[in-house]
Amino acid sequence: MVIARMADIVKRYGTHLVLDNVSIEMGKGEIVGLLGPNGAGKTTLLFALTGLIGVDSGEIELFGRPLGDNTLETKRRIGFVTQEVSVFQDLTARENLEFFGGIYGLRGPGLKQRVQHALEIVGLAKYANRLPAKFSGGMSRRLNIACALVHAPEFLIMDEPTVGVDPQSRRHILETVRELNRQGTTVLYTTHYMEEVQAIASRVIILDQGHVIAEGTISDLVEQIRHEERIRLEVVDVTEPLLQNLRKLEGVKGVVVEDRIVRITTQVGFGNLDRVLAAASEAGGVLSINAERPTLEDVFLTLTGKQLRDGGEE
Amino acid sequence: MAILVVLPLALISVIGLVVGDAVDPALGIPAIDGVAMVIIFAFQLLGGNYTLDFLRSDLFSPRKWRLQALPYPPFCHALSILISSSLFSAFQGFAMVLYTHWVYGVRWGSFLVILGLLLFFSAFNQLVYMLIALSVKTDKLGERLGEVYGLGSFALAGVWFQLPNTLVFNFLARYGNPLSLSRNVMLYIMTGRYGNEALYSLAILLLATTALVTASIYFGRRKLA
Repeated sequence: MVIARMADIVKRYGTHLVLDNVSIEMGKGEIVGLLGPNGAGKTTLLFALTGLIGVDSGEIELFGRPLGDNTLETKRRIGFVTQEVSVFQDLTARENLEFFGGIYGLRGPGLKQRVQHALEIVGLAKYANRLPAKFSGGMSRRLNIACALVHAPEFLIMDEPTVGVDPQSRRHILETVRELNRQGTTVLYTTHYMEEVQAIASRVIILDQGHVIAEGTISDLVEQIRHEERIRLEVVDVTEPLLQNLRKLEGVKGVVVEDRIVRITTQVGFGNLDRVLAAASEAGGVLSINAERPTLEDVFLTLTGKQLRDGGEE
Repeated sequence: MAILVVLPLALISVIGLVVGDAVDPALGIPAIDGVAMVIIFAFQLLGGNYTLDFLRSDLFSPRKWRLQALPYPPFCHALSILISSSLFSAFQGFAMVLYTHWVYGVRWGSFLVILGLLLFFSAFNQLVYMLIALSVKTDKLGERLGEVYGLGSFALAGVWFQLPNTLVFNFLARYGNPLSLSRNVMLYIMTGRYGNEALYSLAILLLATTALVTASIYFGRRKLA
């Protein structure tokens, strides 16, 4: 079942083209990671998807219905974690959740139960009666997330929920996302942090300058750029015959030595690990050998020509 | 929040000490009654800051995206802020009315009618500040305009100093600002005299309220849709 679909979306701010014929689709139960440098159009895409801003052209469907048909009912089924911490500082954590839960139509014991559940999921049950002003950045972010999931949404949209949080809170947030997904929530997760996407996403969409430039599972994306592989070889002693043997191997593009470590760059598809190991064994003692696979970071760099955390302001 | 209670009560106390048992020769009421009335209603003018603050922080800050993502139209949120702020400011004023009655013996007339007028005047001021919140681009500008409205009304009502004795200034001092309009109505409630002025003032306040509601709807549709 398709939860969200955007087809040929174009969005301009004045003359600045922010989304250029963007098409994406999300199925029920997925965790989709939306990656892109600053200014790629990620937040604009999320705002367009939830109807917070209009688009210049294209079609958006949520839960199988065009956006705009019964907007309030659609909003009831979505939880939106904004990039900014958007909680009320003069209400306690529990009161914040009661406010948001109340707007989603929760009342009485049902509301109390959902509030308690949301507090437990984000690990704030012990701090339920404290004001957010007394929270650390990570705790505020977790409360921000709890406010978006207090009504048990079917579709949770998270806009960079871990910006500026400590590693412990980040782990907690990622575990929360996994847990929600296990419970059946579909998640669209934008971030600057590649490792977060690698940790939780079942599928990745890479957005750059308003275009979807790649889409698929992490292994699909890595496969797209697997023109070469790197092998790390650790030997007892680096000798000239060893290096000559390695350089003579078919498909080897480069051999670099760092102390007792030899890094070999080869083309893929030549059974490299076995051949390198054989060549190295002939020349001396091998301590360890392993192939270094391309990462999502490499994919991003190859496709966009830039690191994920550079670029202008969004 | 507290300053809108503590400061007026402090002013009433200090000025009350100065005027003692004197009677206002122009109005024929104890001077302390006039002082309490003007100061309590003058601070109602600034009570609109509640609406300004809450509207700007909820619907004109990054938090607006969270609120707009809720299944709840933003105008409902604006309206709830307007109503809550009106009630809060009016009851704040009413608490001061009761305090000045019990402590200083100010004769307010019917408390129910005073409460009604406070509710109306408070809602009027919240509407003014709502219009400001809807029509400015920055919070600072909103605050400055709010100050201009409040302090400008004090000045026009002759709270600080007597305005020049000309036809225009006399009109402005009597009917040309919300503080004078509410004072005219209050004088009638307290003394049973000045009925015509009270009627005209009430009519002007009602007309102005209608204009404010219309303008708020117009700007609200543009800014909160």
